[in-house]
Amino acid sequence: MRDYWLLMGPASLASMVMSPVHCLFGLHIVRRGVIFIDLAVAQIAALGMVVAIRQGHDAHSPQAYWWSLGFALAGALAIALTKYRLGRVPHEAMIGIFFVVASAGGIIALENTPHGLEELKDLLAGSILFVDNAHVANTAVIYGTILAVMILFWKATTRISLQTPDAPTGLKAALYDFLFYSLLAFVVASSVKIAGVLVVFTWLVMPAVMAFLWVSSMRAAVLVSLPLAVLVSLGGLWASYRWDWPTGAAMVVVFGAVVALFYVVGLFVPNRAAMNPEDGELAGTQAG
Amino acid sequence: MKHLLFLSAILLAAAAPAQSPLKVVTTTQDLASIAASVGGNLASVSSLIVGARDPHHIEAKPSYMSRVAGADLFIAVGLELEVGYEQSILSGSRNGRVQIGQLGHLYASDDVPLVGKPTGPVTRAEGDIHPYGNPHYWLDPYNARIIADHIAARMGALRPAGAKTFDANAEAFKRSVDVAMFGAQLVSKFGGDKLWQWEVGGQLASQLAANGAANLVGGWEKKMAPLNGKAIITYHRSWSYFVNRFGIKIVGELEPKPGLDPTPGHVASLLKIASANGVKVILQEPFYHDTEAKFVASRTGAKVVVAPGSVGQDPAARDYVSLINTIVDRLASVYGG
Repeated sequence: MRDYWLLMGPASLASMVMSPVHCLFGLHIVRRGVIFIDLAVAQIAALGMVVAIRQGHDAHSPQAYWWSLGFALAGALAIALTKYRLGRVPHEAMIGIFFVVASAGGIIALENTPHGLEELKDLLAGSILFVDNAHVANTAVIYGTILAVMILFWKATTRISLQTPDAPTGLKAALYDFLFYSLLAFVVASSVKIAGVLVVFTWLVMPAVMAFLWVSSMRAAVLVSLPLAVLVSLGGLWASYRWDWPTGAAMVVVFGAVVALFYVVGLFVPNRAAMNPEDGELAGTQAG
Repeated sequence: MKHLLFLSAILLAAAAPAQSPLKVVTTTQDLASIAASVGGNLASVSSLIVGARDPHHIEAKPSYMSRVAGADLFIAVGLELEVGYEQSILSGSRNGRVQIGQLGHLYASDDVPLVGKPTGPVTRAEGDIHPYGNPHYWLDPYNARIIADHIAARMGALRPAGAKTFDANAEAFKRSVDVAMFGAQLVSKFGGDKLWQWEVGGQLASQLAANGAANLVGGWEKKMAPLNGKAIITYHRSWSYFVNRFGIKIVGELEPKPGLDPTPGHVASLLKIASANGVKVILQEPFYHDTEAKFVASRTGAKVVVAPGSVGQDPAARDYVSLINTIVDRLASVYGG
């Protein structure tokens, strides 16, 4: 056990801090159908990092961090705005376009810099196994703040996500959207570097999918998905240790197995909530 | 000087069009540095790879092909280091003179004594394994001398009129390596060739003692003495030749198999190896992530040393001699050198 903690301790702590926050965002992302937004935002953040590197900043300097954060926020704003007036085009298509253009832009911008493409690959390939505890502590502070803001606006954001009749509209909705996407940009820009794209995507999407396969209200989904996110993350870390698999990949595969289990079992359960499109009451504190 | 160069350029151009500078393109900056020393002002040398990037993987760009198109001589590390891109660049250049097997194509690895030739079957399951032996041979100064001779011979074959100059330049390069390796006093007393003969035969210390010259040792030999017999961990299997030369042992690699992600079990075994062998140094190139190295270092008391594996991977590594200097200084500093 001591050996386990020495190796997997920091990754376990990081998972406990990070997965619930991702999971809360993920519930909205899944309901809004913007599944690949994290990849797009991560790539745009990486592009910001590239711009910083081009200006001679070191990839690990605070300047580089602020550049990547600035890009992530601008990207989030652009993504939030492209939701409107799309006509027949799904929002997800626009997000995909952001993703590939940011990726290609990064490749071109880094082509003639030292560390070029290696750096670009590294920006999106964190390894949760090697996170250090100081980093986890920093992340906990940032995420705590984000979580507090998120809870304040939970109700309005949820109404928009579920498209209820009393959802905010017009400028108000756009502002809520921008706030939601900026917070998400904040989370993704910092977590991708720690855990890598695959694990971040998994935390965002899979617990939410597990929950909505079985329950329909946001409140129930929160109650189901949060503990699942933490437990399955820890299970993934344990599997990585037990069978000596690469850590991030092990987490993703274990999550995938649990999603498959939820889905298959659901096939044999009649009248599952997921088959009912109507949505239950809203959860959250009184605010906004 | 400028006028002289200009005049000689005009004269050369007038005398014989064939005597325009030999256009040399290399894959790595290490080879470019050695080739530039050997070619002197009879050659113009440039490398495809610039800066701190992994020589195993570069993105093919159109400009590579156009540069190789005009080359008289193409020099590659060989041993499949450039297997991912060399052939496509050569084919794309449409330059018949520098295709593999032609006089204008040189693998610097010819004649170099190799290590790490795999004995078992070679499969992709082993990661990026080089079936012909470890290709990072330029990090042994002894091999740099071989490479210089080799380049001089090939340049002489391509430009017979400059053969004498190329040979003289190669000798000068080798002398600069010898002085950096053994110190000026030893080189002037015994000559570089003799010193290397002893060094490669493993009798340097005994011969120097027999000749009463043990206290004259300088250069890298002196700086690296505290590391003799010490154990280190590296990221990638790129330091074999370097550590063999200076009597250092590599007891583990952060990459479980070259090019693949580490697993917890692998990291656990590294932690055990590091404490069992008293590892003080984890050595890696600047283009690899240092998170793994820091993780292992923070749990074992070792220090992470980031050193260039090629010329151009660090501002301090401007040419071949300063490359080895930088590696030596960074390692020696951990041992109080």
